[in-house]
Amino acid sequence: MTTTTSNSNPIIIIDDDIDDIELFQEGFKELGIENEIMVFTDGNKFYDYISTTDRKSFFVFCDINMNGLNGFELKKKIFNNEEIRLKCIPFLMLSTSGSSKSVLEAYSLNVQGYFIKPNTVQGIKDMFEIVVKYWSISQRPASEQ
Amino acid sequence: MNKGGPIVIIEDDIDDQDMLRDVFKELNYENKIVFFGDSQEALDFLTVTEIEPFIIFSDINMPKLSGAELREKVHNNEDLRLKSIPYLFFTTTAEQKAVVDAYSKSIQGFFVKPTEYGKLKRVIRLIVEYWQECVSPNYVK
Repeated sequence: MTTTTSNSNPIIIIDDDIDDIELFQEGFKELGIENEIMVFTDGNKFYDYISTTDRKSFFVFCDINMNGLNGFELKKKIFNNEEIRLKCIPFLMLSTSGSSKSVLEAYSLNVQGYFIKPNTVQGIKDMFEIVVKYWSISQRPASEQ
Repeated sequence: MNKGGPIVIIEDDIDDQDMLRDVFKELNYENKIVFFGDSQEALDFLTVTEIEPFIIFSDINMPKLSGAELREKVHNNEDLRLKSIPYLFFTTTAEQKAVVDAYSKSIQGFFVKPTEYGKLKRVIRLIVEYWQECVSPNYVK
């Protein structure tokens, strides 16, 4: 089955776990999503990219547990710079755990969703399918596509 | 967000309320659906309620307190802000300035209200599915 998107901008994944990245790519492929998937394994490299690029993105998925700059530290850095903050909407958190404290902290930093990483390709497909559909219809800053 | 909590709809247009009421009736979720035609009453409810809502839908164009002013009040009060996640705008038009202003006050979605019943139902179902998939923060004051 093909999931159609109304947005042709790249999907950005920030995660330093190679196995997870492969699962995500498999999930997108099986869903028939044709958007470019940009992967950053280092939060600082993503920050450098987003600070300088004119390209828009469809959505940003960010892992929390990463070496170097973790997901919260990265989101804080983005949150503190208004111009970059608006470029990173929607920003979605992805984690292996969902303790109340970290979920609340994430929403306080203006995220648009917090998901537990599914550990099967099917689970990932189900999650991405909903995310793609939701952000295909929700408006966001500068959503001309 | 409390997945078992009420779905709160802040909408002053009676026709839109009626259509949403029919859609939710048909979708038959276990959540209670609570309507506010008056945004000030919605603010009073959110301030005192001890049951955290599942999802808040708010129109923008409303008399007295507009949707943007209501969101500003919620956003500026930490307790109210943490209780009111996800907060979605559900409105007739989406001017870029309104969209940017809305996301600057930490919202989780901005939707143009479909005028056709079948489409409205699909959009509501999709929004509910998305928030069912997300982790709930279980905010306790």
